[in-house]
Amino acid sequence: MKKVGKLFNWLKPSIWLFILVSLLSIVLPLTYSYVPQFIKYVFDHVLDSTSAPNTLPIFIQNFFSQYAGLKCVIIISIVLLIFQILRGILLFVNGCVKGRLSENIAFDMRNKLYRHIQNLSYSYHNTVDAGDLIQRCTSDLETIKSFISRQLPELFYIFASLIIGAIQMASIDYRIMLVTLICLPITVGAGMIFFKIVNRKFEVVEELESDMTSILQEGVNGVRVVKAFAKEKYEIDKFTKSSEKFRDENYSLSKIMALYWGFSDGFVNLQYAITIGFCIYFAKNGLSAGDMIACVSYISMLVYPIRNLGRIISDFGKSTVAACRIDEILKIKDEYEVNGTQKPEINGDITFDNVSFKFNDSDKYLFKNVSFKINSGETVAIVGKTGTGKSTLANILVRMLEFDSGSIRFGDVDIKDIDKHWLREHVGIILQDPFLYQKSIYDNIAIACKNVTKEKVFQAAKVASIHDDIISFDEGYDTLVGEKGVTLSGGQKQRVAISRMLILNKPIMIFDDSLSAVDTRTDLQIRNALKLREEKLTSIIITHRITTAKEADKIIVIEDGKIAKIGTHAELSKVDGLYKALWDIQGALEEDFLNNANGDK
Amino acid sequence: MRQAHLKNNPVKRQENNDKIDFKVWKKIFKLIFKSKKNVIFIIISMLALSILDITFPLLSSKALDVFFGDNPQYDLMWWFISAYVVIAFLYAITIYTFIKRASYIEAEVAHEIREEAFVHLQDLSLSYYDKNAAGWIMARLTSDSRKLAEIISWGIVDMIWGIATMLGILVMLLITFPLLALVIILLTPIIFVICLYFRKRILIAYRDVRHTNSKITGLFNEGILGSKTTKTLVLEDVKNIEFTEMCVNMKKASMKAIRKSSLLNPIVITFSYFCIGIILSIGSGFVLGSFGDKLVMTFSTLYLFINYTNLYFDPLAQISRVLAELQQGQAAAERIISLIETKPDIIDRPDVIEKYGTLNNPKRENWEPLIGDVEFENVSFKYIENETVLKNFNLKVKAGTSVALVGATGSGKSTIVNLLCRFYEPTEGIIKIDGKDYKDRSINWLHENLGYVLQTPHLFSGTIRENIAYSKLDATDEEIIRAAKIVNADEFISKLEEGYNTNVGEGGSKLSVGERQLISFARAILNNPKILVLDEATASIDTQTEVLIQKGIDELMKGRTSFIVAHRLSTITNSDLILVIKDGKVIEKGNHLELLALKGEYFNLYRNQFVNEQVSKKICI
Repeated sequence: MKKVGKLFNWLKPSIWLFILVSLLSIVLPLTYSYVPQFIKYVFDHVLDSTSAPNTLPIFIQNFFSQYAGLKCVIIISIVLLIFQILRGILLFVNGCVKGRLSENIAFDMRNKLYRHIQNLSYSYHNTVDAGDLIQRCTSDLETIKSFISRQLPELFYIFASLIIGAIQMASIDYRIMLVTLICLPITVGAGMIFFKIVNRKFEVVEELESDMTSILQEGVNGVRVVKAFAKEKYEIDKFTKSSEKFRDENYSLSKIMALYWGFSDGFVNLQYAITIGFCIYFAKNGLSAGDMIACVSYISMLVYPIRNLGRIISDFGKSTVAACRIDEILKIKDEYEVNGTQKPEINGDITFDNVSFKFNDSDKYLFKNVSFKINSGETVAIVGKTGTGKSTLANILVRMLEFDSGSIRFGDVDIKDIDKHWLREHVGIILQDPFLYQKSIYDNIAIACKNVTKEKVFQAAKVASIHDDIISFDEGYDTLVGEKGVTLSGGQKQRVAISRMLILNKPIMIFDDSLSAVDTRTDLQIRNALKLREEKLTSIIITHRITTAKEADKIIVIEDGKIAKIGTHAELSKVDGLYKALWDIQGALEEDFLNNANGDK
Repeated sequence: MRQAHLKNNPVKRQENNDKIDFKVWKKIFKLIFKSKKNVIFIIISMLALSILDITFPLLSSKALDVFFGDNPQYDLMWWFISAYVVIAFLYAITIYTFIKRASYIEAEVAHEIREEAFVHLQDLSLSYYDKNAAGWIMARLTSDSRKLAEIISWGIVDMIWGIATMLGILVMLLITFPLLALVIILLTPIIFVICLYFRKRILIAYRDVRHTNSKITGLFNEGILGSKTTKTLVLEDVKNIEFTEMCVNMKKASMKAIRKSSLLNPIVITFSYFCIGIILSIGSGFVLGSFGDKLVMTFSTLYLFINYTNLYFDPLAQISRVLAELQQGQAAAERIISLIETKPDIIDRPDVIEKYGTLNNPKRENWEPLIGDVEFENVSFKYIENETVLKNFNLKVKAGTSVALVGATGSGKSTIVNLLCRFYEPTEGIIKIDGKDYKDRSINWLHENLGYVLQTPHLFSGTIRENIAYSKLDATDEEIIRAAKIVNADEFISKLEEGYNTNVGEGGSKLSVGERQLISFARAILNNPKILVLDEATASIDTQTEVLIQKGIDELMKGRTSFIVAHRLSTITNSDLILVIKDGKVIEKGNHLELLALKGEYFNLYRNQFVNEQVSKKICI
């Protein structure tokens, strides 16, 4: 029941629309049920003169009875036409209101999901299966939307149609109504069994289709391999086999459908036969022609809608599952549930005080009791082997990750008291694997900049030495990035990401190994440009490149989860340790290389 | 009959924005008529269904006549009931038959289109794949083929039924009371035109909805994959607003489509009740004898008329829907046909085919063994007019030589390899293998003697064994293991729980990049190729694997003519010949030491890369 609640939760914001849709679902069959009564009136009271009962409102019957003969029929026809036009308007309104309900629900769900996902923590996004998440945001969402806005009102419609049809029929002859109703459980039962089987079969078909699509995809993407090994025929056989399997399974599903719809339509017609048979039988007892005409019309109200009941019941299960899957996402805590409120001036003084960190799923500390100080305006290089937590150190500085103990202070303010957005607005970090949005290159660079000008964008691109690459594209800065546009190389992406951050002029910048992806010349160029910047800049550079680290004001060497050494190049290159070892290798290699080249001359 | 309808349709002529292309449809209809049996079954069952639809009200009207008229004949009751039961039974059979047969055609046509397109795709040259995005190609074989098959098979069904039912009803009405029938005939074109107009607008509106929907999916995708970057740039608000805007667009587009499609049904109802009103009024006049003694009808005939009028409008609405859908289907059909009719750029000459056989039917007995001498003679190449990538390129290497190509992206080194593999052919000059122009032998001959390793290794889903055996499908287990051992892949494979039977996942996703690379080496070496082409990987690989890969590459090159497109210079120091390429020309040429001594481009490249690499390596260990 709790699960069902999750499904109906989405209904709450649009409850009035839903009530309106439900009302319309009842009103529509109700109005429809009077249409046969008009015809019946003509046959009973104008063309014949029976005393057969009619369920049209008395005032309308009185109105009609003022006239006789052809004039009466014409008036009835006109009233019927007006009635149908009004019904038509109602139908149109119903369609629109249903649409509005469906779109409102989708709108709410989409926005809520998108915002929530945006706010989920960095570590969540590191582990999540993106494909699964998108699946939930699209197809699960559609399932819920159409269940609430379509199937649920249809349920009202089915029962309204059933009850109203039965009442109208009973007004003619309750025995005929009972006979017609008796067959309904068979229709419903057959429908439920059928849709259960078919749903299972549908899954198999879908699976086969996705198998076929992956063979196709591999064939298309791997066309070079296929051709180079002359395996075209093999691929054709593989694809054909899979396509045939899909076709056969699809066909076998259709055969079940054919069987069901054949049976069900035959059965409906059988019901017509039975009902009409009874009508004829009762004709002896004075059932009028109009009665029979109306009865035949009402059969359709009883037997057709109910056929969908089986489908709705089986869809109900699916929708509940979908609602639970979406709820799973929304239940995850978003990162802003823990947030500071202060917005202090951030000038670049950073103090690490006994900071320790471990990943949630591990009981070993990645680093422990790390303490150091960065002064405003300094360039700090962090050097260390892979996996020692250099990136983690950078990430906890912008609170993408939370550390376990100790404290980090910006000036005098503890990082945990600072508003996360405020913090990230002042501390820029360029990730190892940056993401570019599906926009033009220009927009990608300018995206986060509030008062952007063309000059600023070009300047930033030039500094990151991506400008020349950009203008070499056919559409220059307007070139789209991603699937529909140009595919950038890893280095180009990195440089766009760097210029995107450079343009922001943040007081603190962290390069998480992002300079290593560009060549040494660009690396130097970027660092020089940063030095020339008017605003004071504190930069933290995580790097493998010893020549880059060399020029920093302070070099922090991390080893075995601890800070091994802190100092300048001049200091560190003299004492034994990782830094000196690296520096020596660098020097030796350079020398060795030159000797090698010269010696063989 | 369908085509006649289109010709007669004035709206179609006026709009003219998408003309009916008979050539396209002829081809598609050929596919349908491949299974004549099913088409005949469908035609028969749809005609039967129309007859049943027409008979049912007729029977009811007769029942009114017989039992509710002036002198009822109750003894006929069982006859009528039996007739109804028979009709019910026939309905069941007819509906079962047409759904089954139409589904068969649907499944079969979709399959045939897919198969034909896929077979043709295998014939197409690489230039086609370079020009068209993989997603585009795939959509032709998936959504287009599905849509087309659906529209055609069910379109035929609805069309036959619709036309037959409408004609049947008209004939019945004309027989029973021609004057009233005229009213309906006059109103038909008006309603039809309105329906068609709406159907088209509705389809277009829903196309917009789908388009917006795919954009929303794109934004979700971006929101999920780019969330970390969004956080670092504090762009959450910007992205949220952007997303909400798109959702608002979606809502607008959907509501537009919904309004249009909600309007159609009420319009049809209004029209049909307009007709029913007229019929009811005039008909009642006849029944009551208001128009004189000659124009008299029974009340049961009136009932029949009302029923038929009601029944008449459904097929009309269906036909308009089918026509609108067919027009959309034509776009899909055109795209598929354009794929199937694209001519491959690179094909064997007829005389070559005669001697060497085709892909499906190679005449291996006529194949000379490939030795491995390679010669580029004044080779020039351009992918597009006026953009020469390679100019007067000359190179002559003896069998067994290892050649390394060095240069920036776009310098032309990949082009050389593409030409050698005959993925493309030179625009000028010739490429000789074993002293003979390679166009004098079949593509297949070359490819079966070629080993090829891509920059990003491409594995197929399946087991490791299957992936290695890809180059030689009938390889024995010993051969496979031997190949894996040569390139040092055996070590990691045998450590896996299921060894060679390990499933690699889609695209090899369950293995690391380095492991995938090693498997692709084993695959390249298994069929003992005489020429080896290797596009070196740029992806970062952990140091241990890199050592394995380096060893693997050395093993691969032994005793073969090899071409390696090098990104990491440390891998090619042992190459016999290094070509430094810039703007489609060879600027430096020689072995490693010779080139270093030149102190030119290679020297600079090497110095820069090598030193940084070595230091990085130390850090990574």
